[in-house]
Amino acid sequence: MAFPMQRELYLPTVPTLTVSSQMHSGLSGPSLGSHGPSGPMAARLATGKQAPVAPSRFSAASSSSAAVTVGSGPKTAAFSPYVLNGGTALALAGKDFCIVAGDTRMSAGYEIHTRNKPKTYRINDKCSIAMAGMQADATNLIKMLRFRIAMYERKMGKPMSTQSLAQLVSTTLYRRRFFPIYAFVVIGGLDEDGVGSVYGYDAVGSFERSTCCVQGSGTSLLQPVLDNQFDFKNHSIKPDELTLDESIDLVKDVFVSAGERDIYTGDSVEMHIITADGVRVETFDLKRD
Amino acid sequence: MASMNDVVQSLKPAGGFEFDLCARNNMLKQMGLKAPKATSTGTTIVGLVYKDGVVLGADTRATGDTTVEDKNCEKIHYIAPNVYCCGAGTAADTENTTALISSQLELHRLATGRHSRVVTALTLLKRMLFRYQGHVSAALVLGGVDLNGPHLYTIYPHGSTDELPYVTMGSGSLAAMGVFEAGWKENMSEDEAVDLVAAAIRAGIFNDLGSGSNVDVTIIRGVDDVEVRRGYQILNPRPYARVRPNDLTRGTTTILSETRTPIHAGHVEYTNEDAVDMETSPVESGGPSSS
Amino acid sequence: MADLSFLHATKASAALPAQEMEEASFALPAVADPAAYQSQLYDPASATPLHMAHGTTTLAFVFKHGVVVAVDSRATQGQYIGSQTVKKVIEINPYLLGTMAGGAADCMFWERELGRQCRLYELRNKERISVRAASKILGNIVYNYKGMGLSMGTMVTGCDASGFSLFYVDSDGTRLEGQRFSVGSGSTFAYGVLDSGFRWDMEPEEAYDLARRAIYHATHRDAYSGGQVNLYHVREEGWVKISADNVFDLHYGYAAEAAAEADAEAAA
Repeated sequence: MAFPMQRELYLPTVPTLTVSSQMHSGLSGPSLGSHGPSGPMAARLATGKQAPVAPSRFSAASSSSAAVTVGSGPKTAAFSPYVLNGGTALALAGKDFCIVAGDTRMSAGYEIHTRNKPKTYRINDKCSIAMAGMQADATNLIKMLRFRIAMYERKMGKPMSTQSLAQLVSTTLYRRRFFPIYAFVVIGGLDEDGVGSVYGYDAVGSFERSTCCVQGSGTSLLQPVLDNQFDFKNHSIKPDELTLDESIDLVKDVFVSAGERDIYTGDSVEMHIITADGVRVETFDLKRD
Repeated sequence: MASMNDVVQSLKPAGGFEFDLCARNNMLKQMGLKAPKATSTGTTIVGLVYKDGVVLGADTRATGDTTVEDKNCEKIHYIAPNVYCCGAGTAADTENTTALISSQLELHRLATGRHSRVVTALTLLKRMLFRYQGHVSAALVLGGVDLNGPHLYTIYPHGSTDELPYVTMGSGSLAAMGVFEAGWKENMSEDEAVDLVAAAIRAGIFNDLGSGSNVDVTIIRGVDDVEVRRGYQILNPRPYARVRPNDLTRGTTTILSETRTPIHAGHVEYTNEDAVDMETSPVESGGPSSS
Repeated sequence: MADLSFLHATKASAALPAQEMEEASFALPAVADPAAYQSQLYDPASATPLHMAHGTTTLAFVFKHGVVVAVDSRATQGQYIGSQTVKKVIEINPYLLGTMAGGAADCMFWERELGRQCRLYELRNKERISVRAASKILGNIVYNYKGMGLSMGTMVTGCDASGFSLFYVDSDGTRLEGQRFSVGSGSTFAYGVLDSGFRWDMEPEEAYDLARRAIYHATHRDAYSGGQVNLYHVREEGWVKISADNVFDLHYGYAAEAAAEADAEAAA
């Protein structure tokens, strides 16, 4: 059996895209747009395996002569592929249920792009994903995940478990370790014993199972509240675990609170309530200011 | 050798701003220190001239970065009995700038025995802001009525000004101006004017993330004929409150130790012999006395 | 025969979306120098800063009865505590342990990959891999990515035919064999306790106590460490998880112990 050698396995691939100043149609890729006054404004990234590397105006440490020159010294415009679209997503896990919720405001800077873009995505009867961060990356990530889930289910002939999905999301995020997907993921679902489970991630795929996890612009407001009111952390006397109805009540309350103080959280919330009966979707309104 | 008195004298505040630490702060910034962010009033503020005077309007949200720091702050400031001013920008700068000019005008009225003119307030404000080259971050809408009739101005942080029949400022200015451009007419009635101002502010509140909460309106018809309508429209009440808030049982927080200090009723005599008198005047030489 | 073609790094091509999804290689940003681009991504001054889970105290030492591994459980993202319950001891297989310091995702992913490699080695060679070889696999992997922005400070430890061994491997490419290591932002505090209390012929219970105290003291002084102390013991028959103690409980436990000792001294 020809087993590949280590070096073959692990050498990072050569970048397939190099910056060229030529016009190139039909290819996606970040437009130079308003990054600099010189050169064709609509210049796109052109493909070419061994194409001569044109001087990059994206490069962080470019010292090339073609860098945009303003005044006396050369000035480099940084390649900035990310935009923060704000919003909050969370998941809570109970004994036999799970709640996955996210607000539906999508914004950038001081502008609201839309008041109705849910951050929650139903995966199957047992599991939903919610994502905050950059909407474009989140959409693309969901597309990749759905593809991989479909491949898995076709190969294995069974639906993907929440636990397997959790590992799949991690590896999918880590594949972009050197060009991270700007999406902050949280998964909520039922595990193989029917117990609620939540997995939270960082942008490059570090993950952990927990019982409640908040992602996005309201994280620092909501996570401490849920730690205290849902997990009863630092309570010397622990009250009874919250029931499903009490948990829904809590989710509504914390989202409304985030809407009061975080400018990126608002408009409405889409909530996936996952029980043995399947996924039920509920929405409720937040402030619109 | 400098005496203690000289030192004390040198520490007494002189008038105006202090720039002593600018060089240090620049160095710290270069070394990567992040300066604390001042509360800014993201803000939608507007003004409009109508048949009998001026209507000013403002939202009531104050933000620090992306957090709402004040849900109901007051952005329409008093300048004189016939002049008011809306402020956008750094909250501290707008508040203190308008307060400073307000007191200068008060002194001016006392000295001259005449009512303030809006243009005087404008001149004082623009001179001050120009002097500080935009470092005092105040963007203002100044409105009032004087013997020459109603006046409405905008003042930019660097000191430039405009006089117009309808103006908007702040991060919600584009949203508000859209409403004005669509709905403004010459010689509007007061009711029409207030309605249009409120609509413009609402456009800012709902479309600009830097603006929010309520609409404040101030109507200036003449000297001492001013109507301050604080909370003219309350638009954003809390939509939901938890049905079953979690009541904490006593003992939820661990008590590590307990000390009880009895509070004595009536006269208490001090018996602490080590107590040192509070220093009330500068000491000529040496440090504070100790026993 | 199993199809192992997916193991090959896919050759670069202008891929269709579906093909791109199946590539087994890493996606790189479309810049001339992807390595230099990394530093820009994580710049906290940027409008969209990325925070990776970071910050740690880990330690491991070899002594008469095996290897003791102890770690804290806090993950920080900038100033924010991302988690207090991270598993920083990675159970590679029943005989090998790895630790996590630096980028959580990096350690998690590559030590999982190391586990896969070790399993393949076992299947091919009909014997367990040595700790020396396992640590070298990890070292070689990360060395291939040198300068790309990986951040790992890890210890690989376990038991093999040559006995107990302990290796330190980091993302710079360093690989050291040693008897005693501590890695992470709180390591200096842990070393202080560890070096002053270490004896080769400690009983296991003494070793556990020493390791626990070392991590506890690091969490006490290092804001980036905290949560609980997870403690493992590598024995000849494989590793065993000994304990997981909240540092809050340890703090008051140690305080009560010290008070009792002081009382006993005063009585004597």
